[in-house]
Amino acid sequence: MSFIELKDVVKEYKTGEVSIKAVDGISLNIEKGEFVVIVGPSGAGKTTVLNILGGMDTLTSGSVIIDGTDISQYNSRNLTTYRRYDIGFVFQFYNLVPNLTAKENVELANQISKNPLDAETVLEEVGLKDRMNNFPAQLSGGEQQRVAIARALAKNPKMLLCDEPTGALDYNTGKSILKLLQDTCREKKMTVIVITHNQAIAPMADRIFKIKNGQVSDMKINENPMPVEQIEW
Amino acid sequence: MKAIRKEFYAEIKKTKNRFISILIIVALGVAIYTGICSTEPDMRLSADKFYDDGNLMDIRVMSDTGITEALVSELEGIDGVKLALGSFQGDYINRMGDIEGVVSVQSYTDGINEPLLSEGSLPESTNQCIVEASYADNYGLKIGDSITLSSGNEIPIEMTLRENQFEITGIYTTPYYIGVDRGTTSIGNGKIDGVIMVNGDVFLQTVYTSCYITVDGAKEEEAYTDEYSELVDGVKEKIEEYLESMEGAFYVLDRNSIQTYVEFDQDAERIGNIGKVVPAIFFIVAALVSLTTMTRMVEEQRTQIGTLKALGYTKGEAAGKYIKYGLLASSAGSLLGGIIGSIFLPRVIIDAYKMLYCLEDILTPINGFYFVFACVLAVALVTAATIFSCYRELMDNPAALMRPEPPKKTKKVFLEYIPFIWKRINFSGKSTIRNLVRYKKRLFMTLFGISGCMALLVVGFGVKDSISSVVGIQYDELHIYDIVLSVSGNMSEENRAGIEETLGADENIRDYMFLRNSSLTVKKDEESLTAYIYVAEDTDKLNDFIKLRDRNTHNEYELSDNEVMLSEKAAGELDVKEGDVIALSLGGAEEYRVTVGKIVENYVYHNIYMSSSMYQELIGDVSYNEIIISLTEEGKANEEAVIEELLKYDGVSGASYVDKLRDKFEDMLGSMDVIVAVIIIAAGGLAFVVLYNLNNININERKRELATLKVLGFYDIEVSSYIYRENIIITVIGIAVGALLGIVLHKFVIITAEVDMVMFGRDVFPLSFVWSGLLTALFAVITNLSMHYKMKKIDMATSLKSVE
Repeated sequence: MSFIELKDVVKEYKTGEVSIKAVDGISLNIEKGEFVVIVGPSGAGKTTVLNILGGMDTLTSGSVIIDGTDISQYNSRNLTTYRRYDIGFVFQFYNLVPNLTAKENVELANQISKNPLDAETVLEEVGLKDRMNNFPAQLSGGEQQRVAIARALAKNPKMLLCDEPTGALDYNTGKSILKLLQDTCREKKMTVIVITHNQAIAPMADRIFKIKNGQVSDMKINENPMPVEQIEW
Repeated sequence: MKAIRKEFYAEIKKTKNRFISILIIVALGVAIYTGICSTEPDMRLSADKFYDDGNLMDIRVMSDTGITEALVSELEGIDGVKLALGSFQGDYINRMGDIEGVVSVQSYTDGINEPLLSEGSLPESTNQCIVEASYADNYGLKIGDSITLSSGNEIPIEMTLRENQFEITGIYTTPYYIGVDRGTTSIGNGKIDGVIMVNGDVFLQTVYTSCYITVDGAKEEEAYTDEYSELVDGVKEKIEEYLESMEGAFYVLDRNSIQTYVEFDQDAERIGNIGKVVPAIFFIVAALVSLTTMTRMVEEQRTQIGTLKALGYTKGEAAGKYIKYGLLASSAGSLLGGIIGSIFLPRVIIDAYKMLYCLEDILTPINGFYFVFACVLAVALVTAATIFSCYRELMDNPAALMRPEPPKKTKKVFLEYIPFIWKRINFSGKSTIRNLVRYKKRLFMTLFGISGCMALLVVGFGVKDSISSVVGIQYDELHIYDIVLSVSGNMSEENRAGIEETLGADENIRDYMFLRNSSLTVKKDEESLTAYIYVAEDTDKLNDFIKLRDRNTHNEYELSDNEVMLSEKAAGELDVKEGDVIALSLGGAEEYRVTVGKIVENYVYHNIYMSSSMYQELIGDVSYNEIIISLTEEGKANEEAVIEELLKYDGVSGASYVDKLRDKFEDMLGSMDVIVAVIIIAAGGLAFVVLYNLNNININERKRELATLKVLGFYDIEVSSYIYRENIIITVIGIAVGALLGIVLHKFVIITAEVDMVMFGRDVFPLSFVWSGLLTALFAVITNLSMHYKMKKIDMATSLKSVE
């Protein structure tokens, strides 16, 4: 059994008479410690998949089994617990709490986790040793994203879910963030799932899913993933 | 422009909570303002109606030698005089069972100072009378009962009245006595208890006591206005001119000689004064709420403003929507508040004042001036706030408006520079403190709203405390006797010995004391007032019955033989300080100058205390007209029996129970509940609108932050408490600030609202602070709980994806 198993997942949005299927029967398996890239054009449903995977959204039908547990029937409180202990999120727009310093943003996550990592150590690992006491507004976009990753990692989650983590960053910064994610996956054996519309970064992944119109159009296992430094786009 | 209009109505529908909250806060402000302010003219208007219904005199002419029939008709001939009627009056003793009182008997005058019958009919024969309602109420008199009068001085009653026994045929009210006070007299205890009216031929005198005059056109003018005064003054001068040529001294008096007529005007003005301050809180809050709400609205719609500007709309057109929004919300609120405020609020307030005044009808028309003024002010404030909030965004160029707003810089807070303290604060404490400092505008607004609510509640409960101090302190702590026996001042030795023996032997009686209690005039410089003088036979025992003490320190004072003590309110009115000299006048020409040694606590009436030896030396022999008695616990239970026994003695003319006085005041208190309720509702409304609005804005502004917490796995309750922690701190600070604010406001309201004869307590009871605090906290808790659901509904996915 795989670490993550999605079976016939359907997510339907209803507004009055109209119903739209954002996810239309997706099934996919992901193994522990893999670096996964999900690519697809905007509106394909990849974010919805990630939201379902991360317990931010419920599904209409199908099942989602994470580490042997089916979360598809979870209520809102169970989903919160699931997010609390098992999931680390990284977003396109960082979503740091503006009023807290880098370190405090990490501590915010720490304080609710079971086995959190030390905030300062994690920040050091993401390369922010000297910026710990700065507020988000005093940090560059790349630095803010590093704080966001540190915050996700410090919770010591089962997996890291990243939604367009480089979307708001320039080429070089974006690359360094991807490297950080890839290194984290390799060194900590952390399952990392990255969503992107950028096909070019697919070669760095262990496993690639292509999503189109709410369905998986292609799945590829990459035996020799490339280090991100060697990828150009 | 059609699309823009459509969008405008859609916007109102979409943001109806926001629209309604501006509407409500404006309505509250306008209602309170117009309501309290209109009460002043409404009181005068209602009084004027009463005066007109009873054809209250405009002028009264009196003379030491009386007024002849001939003079009355000559006065009527003076230009401007509408009607002149002669009137007889005399004061007599009325004894009803145990109780003795002084009544003023007046002749019925058809056309001026008419009695307004509430039941029964006018007297037809000389042995009938009508009794005014308050006297009938106080003494339980009904139609068919009879009243027996006796003379209060050396002139026998047969010399002045044709009859001395009258059957009551009707109960009436008269605008001549709109208040409680009926004036003073030279007989009995010096105070008139009530008025009865009889036919003119009951009086045996050949000349009238006074002549009542009404002035042409004066009835059409409203009482208390300048127009009225000018009209009457003109005629008054003509009468004075005419009388100058006559023998004898005449006094020409207008309505200002009627004490209660003047007092009523002053009370109306007092209410008006309150109206000029208290509503300011609501107006300021309304302006601030609109400011923050509109600012938030404009901020939320930066992009839309940018789009409109990019499309080529002018600044005015782009801002028009918001200005129209504010205009519509505030005008709807103003109209609603203005109507409710000017119709209902004055009625409630005047109703509460009715315990002091007898008014037939309460008129509360919509007062044009205050209504329009409040509406214009409210609409202008809200519009100004809206323009102010649009201004900054409108000045930006379209391109900048289309970009998201750059994040606000966060600075370290003051406390962080003191590591000693900062280190000790836990993580959530730190973030709470930073958030409070970061959202300063919201912090102060919320603080203002909560402290405003708290202050209003303190005032509301405090007003009640102040009045209940009158009852509680006056009759439980200061005047600690139970029965007042009225006795004849020139009682025989024998009689007195008998009474004293009975008093001494009765086990129900703890102690008793002979007392002189009569009214006199106290003067200092140009000011004067009527007060009661208390002279105890045994000065050393005075403090066992009447506590002479300082209000604040509760230090008790002993009366000395060369100084008097004056009650606090009287000292305040006359601007007397300890050590000042005042003049006392007992009705005659002579004035006695005395030094005020101490100013003492007292709430009801104005009192002056003098030792018996000082009285003896200064004024003459003291004739003791009262025995004050304090009872034992068992004695209190059979009060009636004790009194019955004492009334058997000659020379004992009546008895009154302090408890009855106390009950009367407690009834008064009951009507204050309405005012307190109005204040609580207003304060609650204020708190809800302000807190709801600010919390709403807070949550909208920080949606992203809250969504982040949710994604991180904070449970709903943890997300809420993240915001609640800030609100709890603001609420606690707000309650503390509001308590202080309330003390100040309460003092102002009490001093402004106080009537002449009574001093209200100056302090708010601790329990009132507790209640006010609890209610404020309750309002805060309710709004916070409703926010919990709003926070619960925040959608993580959409809040986090967008740029805002």
